Amino acid sequence: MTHASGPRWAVVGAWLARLVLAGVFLAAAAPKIADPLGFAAALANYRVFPDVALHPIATVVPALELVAALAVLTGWRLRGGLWLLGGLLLAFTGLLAATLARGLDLDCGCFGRDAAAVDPVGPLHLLRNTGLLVLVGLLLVVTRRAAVVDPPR
Amino acid sequence: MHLSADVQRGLPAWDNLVNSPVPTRDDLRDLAVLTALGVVLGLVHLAVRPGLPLVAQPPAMCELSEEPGISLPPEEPVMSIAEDVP
Repeated sequence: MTHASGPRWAVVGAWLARLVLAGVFLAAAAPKIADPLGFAAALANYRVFPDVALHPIATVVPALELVAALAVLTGWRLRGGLWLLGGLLLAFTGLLAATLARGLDLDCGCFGRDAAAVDPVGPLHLLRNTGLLVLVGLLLVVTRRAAVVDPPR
Repeated sequence: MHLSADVQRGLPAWDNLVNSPVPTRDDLRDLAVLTALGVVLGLVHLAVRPGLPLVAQPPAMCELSEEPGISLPPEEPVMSIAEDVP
């Protein structure tokens, strides 16, 4: 593993940003992987995916989230993981924006479908995703290509 | 020659640390590897997960040939415009 030194605040900040991104996406992927049928039902509510694609999407998207989160956390193919997280975030944000524009009132399903804690789609979701996208962008700018920002010692 | 504070402290200049966010060939290769890994894992999960059919069942709908479950009110006779014409 190569080391990328730099201003200490940048190294600490990059490591914190990686922890936040990986934590959010691991927390999002785990319930979807545990309950793909619930996630498929949440996806069906968006009324944009054909029935034949619901189950493949409901298993592939959480797997992509898991792989990207682990890449960002461990530093293995870090920049690839960041690009993947960025692509997922852009797709999620576009879907949420379209849902808001259509005036649909439905459960986000962002962290799986929890009947006890319905999370209706709202502007805060867009704000959260925008913040995460900014983190991804900052990390892409700060991290050295083909190098890993190691945790501070 | 002017040296930045970072270089004077033995650290690389900030300019050397900052990159353009444009993806390089290495970035795209890493992205392709991770995407392929995620797709394979997802499809394996779909294949091995019991009780998860490959294709979602569409919502139950009655066929056109079936009697509707709800009885419809009797249709009102439609007045023909032609009847009013002398």
